[in-house]
Amino acid sequence: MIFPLLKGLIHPLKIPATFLIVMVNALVFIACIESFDRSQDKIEKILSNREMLFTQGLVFSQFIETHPQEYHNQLRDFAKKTLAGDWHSAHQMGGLAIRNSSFMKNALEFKVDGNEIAVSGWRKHFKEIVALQKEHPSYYLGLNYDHNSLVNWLSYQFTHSGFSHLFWNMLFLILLGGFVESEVGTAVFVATYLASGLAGALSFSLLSGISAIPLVGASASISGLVGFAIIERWNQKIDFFFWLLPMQNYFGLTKLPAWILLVIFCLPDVAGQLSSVSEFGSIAYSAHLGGAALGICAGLIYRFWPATPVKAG
Amino acid sequence: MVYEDLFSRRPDNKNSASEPHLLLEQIAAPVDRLAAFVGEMPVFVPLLSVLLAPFKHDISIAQFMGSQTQVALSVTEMLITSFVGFIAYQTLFVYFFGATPGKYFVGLRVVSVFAGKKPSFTMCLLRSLSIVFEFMLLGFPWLSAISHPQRRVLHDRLSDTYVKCLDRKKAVFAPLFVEKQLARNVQAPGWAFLLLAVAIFFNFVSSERRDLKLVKEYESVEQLCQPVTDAYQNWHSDIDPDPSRVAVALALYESQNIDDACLEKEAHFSLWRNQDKDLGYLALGLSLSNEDKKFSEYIDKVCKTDKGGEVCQFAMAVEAERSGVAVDLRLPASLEHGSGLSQMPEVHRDFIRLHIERQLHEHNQLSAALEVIEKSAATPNFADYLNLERLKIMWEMDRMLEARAAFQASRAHETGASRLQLSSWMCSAEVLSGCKNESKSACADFVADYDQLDNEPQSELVELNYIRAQKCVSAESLDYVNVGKKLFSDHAHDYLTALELVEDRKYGGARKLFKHIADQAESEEFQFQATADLVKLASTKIELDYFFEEFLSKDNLRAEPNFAFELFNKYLTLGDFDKVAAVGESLIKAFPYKTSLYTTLLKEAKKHKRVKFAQKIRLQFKKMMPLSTALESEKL
Repeated sequence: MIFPLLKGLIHPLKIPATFLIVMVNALVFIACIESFDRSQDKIEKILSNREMLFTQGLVFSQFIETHPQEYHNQLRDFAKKTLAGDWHSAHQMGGLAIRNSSFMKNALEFKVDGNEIAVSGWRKHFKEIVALQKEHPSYYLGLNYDHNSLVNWLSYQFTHSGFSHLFWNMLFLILLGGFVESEVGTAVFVATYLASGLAGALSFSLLSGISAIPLVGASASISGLVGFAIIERWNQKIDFFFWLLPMQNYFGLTKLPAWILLVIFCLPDVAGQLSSVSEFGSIAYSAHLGGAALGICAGLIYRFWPATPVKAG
Repeated sequence: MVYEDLFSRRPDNKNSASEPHLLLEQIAAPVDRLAAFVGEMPVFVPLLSVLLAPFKHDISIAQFMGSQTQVALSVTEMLITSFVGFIAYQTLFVYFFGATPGKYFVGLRVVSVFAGKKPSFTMCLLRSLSIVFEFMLLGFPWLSAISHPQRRVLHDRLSDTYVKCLDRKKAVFAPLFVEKQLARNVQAPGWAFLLLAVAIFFNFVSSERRDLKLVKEYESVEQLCQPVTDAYQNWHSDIDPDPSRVAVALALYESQNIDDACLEKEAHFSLWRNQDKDLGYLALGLSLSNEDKKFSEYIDKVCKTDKGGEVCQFAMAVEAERSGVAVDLRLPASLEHGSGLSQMPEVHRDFIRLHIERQLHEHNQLSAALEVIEKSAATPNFADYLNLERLKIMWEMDRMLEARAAFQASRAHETGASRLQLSSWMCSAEVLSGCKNESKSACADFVADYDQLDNEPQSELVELNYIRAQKCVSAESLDYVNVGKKLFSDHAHDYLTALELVEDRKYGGARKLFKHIADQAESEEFQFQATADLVKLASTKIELDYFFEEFLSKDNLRAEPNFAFELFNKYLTLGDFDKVAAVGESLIKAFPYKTSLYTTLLKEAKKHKRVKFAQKIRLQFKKMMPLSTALESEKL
């Protein structure tokens, strides 16, 4: 295991913007947790109804058959297979339907030709889901087909889907944000952080497509900070914590060149993006990559900007 | 030592610990090499995951599409790519930098034993290939790092290299005695573990292959119900050669050839393909008949779709039957006599008639059921089923001579599985009423039919009947070995063993087997038979009363009455009139045309001076058979 410590924990007064962002994230999380849990539980309960999911899968399959131009071949084949009587696939299609923005937008107006009793039951549940999504913080603060304004491009960066999501992001933010802010100052740090988030949203919408499942979390902005730190330090050695074996001398602190972060942080995102199927994935690798790319660009600009003071070492 | 180094001189026992035979400097400690291996992961894993990403992508899609073949293919490609990737990683890093990143981090270098510097490209490649080979042996060869005099693992020796430690203080010498001892002790269990792992791996591969084969079959057949597909493809009718698929499914359902789950699949198919939606709703309603609300909802929907047509009338009749309003089946009967039915497609007529016949049979309106069967005689696709139904009804009506004649007539023109079903049922019916000459003749026919379909596994019930038939046909003791050879089902084998144990008077073992069959057999009839055998073995009244409680919870006496008759006879022997009356009344309800039941009950009532009960039985008899004089001699 290897983990970048960079400058470790820095006094909050030296990195006010980092701690302010951490606090904003924490406050948003605390303010939303109740309504998040409530709507999430209800949505999951509805989706655990096998009959509803089955009918939704069949409706979605018909929807794909009538709007083939909007879907790629694999999904079209899958819809065909479902309608040909592969009822097992219908449940899977039902799960996919809820992630598809076009379906979520038009499903209620779509004329379904099938089991009318099941369809009327499904419509009732579907309306409930749509209503619940309206009060779900991840939906109105996150970035999705229904909430795609500039406000959402910013607000998604401060919204998290659970405690562990928030905890790990904030831990990396304190380490990386603290490092960048102490190195380049508050203004550049804040600009990089927010711009990376926007770039993450842009690359997500271009590479994965804005779906019905909201994009939330500070990961894209943090990836931007990673990219910035890599370029800013590049071949200079930074502190890492390593743990190889549970024996003395095989764990501790070491100094390694900053570009190692590229291998540790950015390569897994590239792999994730190449291996994930946008319809099934739950991690927005494309957003991470967009954020990291902006961070790298910002780092290059900062590094080679004529006014940047040359650092010793 | 774990592996002998064929190129090295066997070390002198006394000096081997301190005197390596090649003068290698600063040999890396095994623990450092292990740490280097762990340290490799943060670099190697991300690089490998980029390389494997396209395969992972394919696997995700294949899994979602349910194509196990594609998954297996992508996993194999992934495995091969991993090995190629690993070989490239090891070779290039060692060739260009003298160490992989993990070794670099820990301060180790790979060095040629002869030149004392970076190894050549061939040496690096050979080294990497050897590591892959060792990996396939679950890394056991790596143990020689603690036992080899120069701490050289197999891949070091094959490539004439060794791992050097840059820090002189951390370097080690030839292994100590304790280390060698440790390696030696690990060797035997290590190989045993490896063999076990290989065995498990092959078992896994073979099971995966089996699964793959199954999956291929699954992929090749239609996902719908196979019996319906078969019946639909082999449908023969001059009037209606191209029937609706869901109507065929309904007819198969009414003739008890498919179950609820199968009908439900077909109903969904019809509804979502927008074909015969009225029948689709009807089929879905029938398949969900255990859920009252849904059943009514779908049956009502039939009429909204069919707008008062014949299918709607039928659906309403089915709903009325279910709610108990029309147990006399007036509505379906009116449909049968009305003009509507004759104008319907043939397959619609089939399932409606089959339904009516089944309902009439279930409600003991046996003559009416026979009438429906006669009217349906022209139905070619269900002739076998109707022949068997005719036989069953005649038997229940005590018209045994006619039933036997009908059996012989039907058997003469039926073949294969349907003939076996017919003779199997006839033999079991005969045997259940005692193994007499007629039974022997019917069972001999059945045995002949069964033997004709040699080596074809039959249902549990047919195999049970085969045992019953052999028991009745063989005048002396049953030939357990030869009968056993003809059986495929585990429960039939258990049953045969249990009978043998009873013959040997080993009742404990027999009871256990009967109990096992009564609990586990797939066929309900088989369960009943095993329970009947348990009743036969019961020696105390307490035991019998336990079975009496079980009897009260059963409501399918007609399917297999053996259990109830056995209980009835046991209580008769014990002289427990109350229980005899309770079981007897249930039997009369199930078999209202069995005159012998009324006679026995009347005799018992007389014996125990139960006048009211006798009157009740006599009244019931008169109601069922007003013209019969069979009970005249049984004066009260």
